[in-house]
Amino acid sequence: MTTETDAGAPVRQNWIGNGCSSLGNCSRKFIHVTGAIFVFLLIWQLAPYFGLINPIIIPVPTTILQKMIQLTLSGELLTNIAVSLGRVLVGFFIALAVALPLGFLLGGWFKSFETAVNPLLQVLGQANPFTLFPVFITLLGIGELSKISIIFWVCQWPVLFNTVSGIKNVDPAIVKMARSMGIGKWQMFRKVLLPAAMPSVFTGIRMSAVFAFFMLIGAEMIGASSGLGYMILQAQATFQMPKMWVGIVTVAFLGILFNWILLQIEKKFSGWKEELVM
Amino acid sequence: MSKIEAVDVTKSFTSRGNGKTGSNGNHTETQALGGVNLTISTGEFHVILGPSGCGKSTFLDIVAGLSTPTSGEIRIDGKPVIGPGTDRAVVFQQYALLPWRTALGNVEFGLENIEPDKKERVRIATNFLSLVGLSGFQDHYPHELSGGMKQRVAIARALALHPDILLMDEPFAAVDAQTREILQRDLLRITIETQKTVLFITHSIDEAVFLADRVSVMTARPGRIKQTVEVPLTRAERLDEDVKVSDAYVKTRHYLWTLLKEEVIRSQDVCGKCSVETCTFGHRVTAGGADDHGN
Repeated sequence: MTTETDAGAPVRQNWIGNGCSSLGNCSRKFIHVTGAIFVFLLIWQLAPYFGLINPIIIPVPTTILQKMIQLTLSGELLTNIAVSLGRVLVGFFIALAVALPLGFLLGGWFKSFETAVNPLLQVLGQANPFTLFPVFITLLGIGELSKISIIFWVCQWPVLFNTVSGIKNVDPAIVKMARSMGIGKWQMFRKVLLPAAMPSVFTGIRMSAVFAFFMLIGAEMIGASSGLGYMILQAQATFQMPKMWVGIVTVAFLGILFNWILLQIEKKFSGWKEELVM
Repeated sequence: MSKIEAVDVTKSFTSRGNGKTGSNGNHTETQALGGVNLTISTGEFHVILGPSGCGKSTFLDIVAGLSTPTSGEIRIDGKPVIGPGTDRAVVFQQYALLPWRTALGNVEFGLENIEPDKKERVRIATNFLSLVGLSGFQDHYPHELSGGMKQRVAIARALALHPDILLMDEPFAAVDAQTREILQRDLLRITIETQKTVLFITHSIDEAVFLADRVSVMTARPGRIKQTVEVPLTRAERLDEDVKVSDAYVKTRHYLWTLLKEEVIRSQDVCGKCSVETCTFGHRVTAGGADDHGN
């Protein structure tokens, strides 16, 4: 918040925060931001020479990279990525399609109903999804359906809860102002409630993306014959440590990439916010 | 000709007991307005002055059509008010700007239902932003503006609707003292230029004397109009720097203070009997009142 008086023009803030003016400025910023990662990788790479870690169990980064290239060329890695991403995306988008409208309805129109069902929803949302996975398998079998369903299950809660609270916590002064202009219900939703709730909605969406990857790997380790979780567990069982680590690193990268994409979309929708919490 | 007419307007709120103080299911009824009668003529700048929590804002909400009276009615140009309408525009204390829209976008907001042509909307909005002294700030978001500038945007937004009546609910209460004086002057200038009928609510005596053609002092809850006082100053005189030391100003100010003082004390007495929240309100009133007197 700027604190200038009425007469003074406040300085505009660069909310994107990643603009850099010159090349030197840019590279300094790049080193600043990525330096810790490079130092970490360097220590990891050198650790076996000092006897700090056993490279058989924890291979050095270059070994993992080599294995990654090899698995990519053979197609095995990409196949597993495709399978895993498919599961995550289908579960995630079904969750959005269900939880977003439901959240808007509960938070905006059926408030007393929402108050009544909220405790129940909280209980359901709190139930550890890993403990529920056997139930899903029993009901839906070991195939794709149970895996997609459990991902859908974990994804819907953060979206639902954050959408409801986003709509419910819209500044009443703004709603009153819009009412004083005599705008209709649909316009109130489209022009006031929806944009006002957007930041909270996106928090929910990004949380559910994180949960989606957690659940994916869990589900693939418990009962699957393909996917990255399966690949990691298989590699461990057959003592193919570099392959296992390729899986671990890939999952981490996919998670970061997914979150990054969502952040870019979020910036488009709620770039008006003073600062984005990353 | 009378523009706004209030006939025996009352308003009571039923508040559910919170279960902590009273017995369960305890409904308490608070009477906010106890029969307000008021006539405001076309082009008049009318200020309602009263202790906080006396029902001033409730009255304004009813005039705006945001709330319905328990009994009585408001008439505008002789027609009863049944809901919000574009003949009235409200400026709120909390600015109520849409944080995801620029200053220009905020002024456009109300126009979107009236003016379908985007270019024309932008033209109108730009004009009103410059009327309130904000040309050059079209593309700023609310968080990039100071409190006074935000309220200027809100005033531009209200004016852009071309309302006959401007309803202002303590619009300058949240800005600092220096900014408030500048805003008051600008508002006076703008209302002269645009010839609006203004209903303005405040708990500051100075603000009331400076702005009003007539001031209605409201009693402590339940709110009624205690007395309506004419301010013997022309608008041109007010824009003169020395108005606050002029005889007419000082005398009117003192008279309003004696009227208001009783109500502030009464609102404190009332507080002894009601909930803690109302009590803190009462204290704020007293502090504000004392401040005004000391100025």
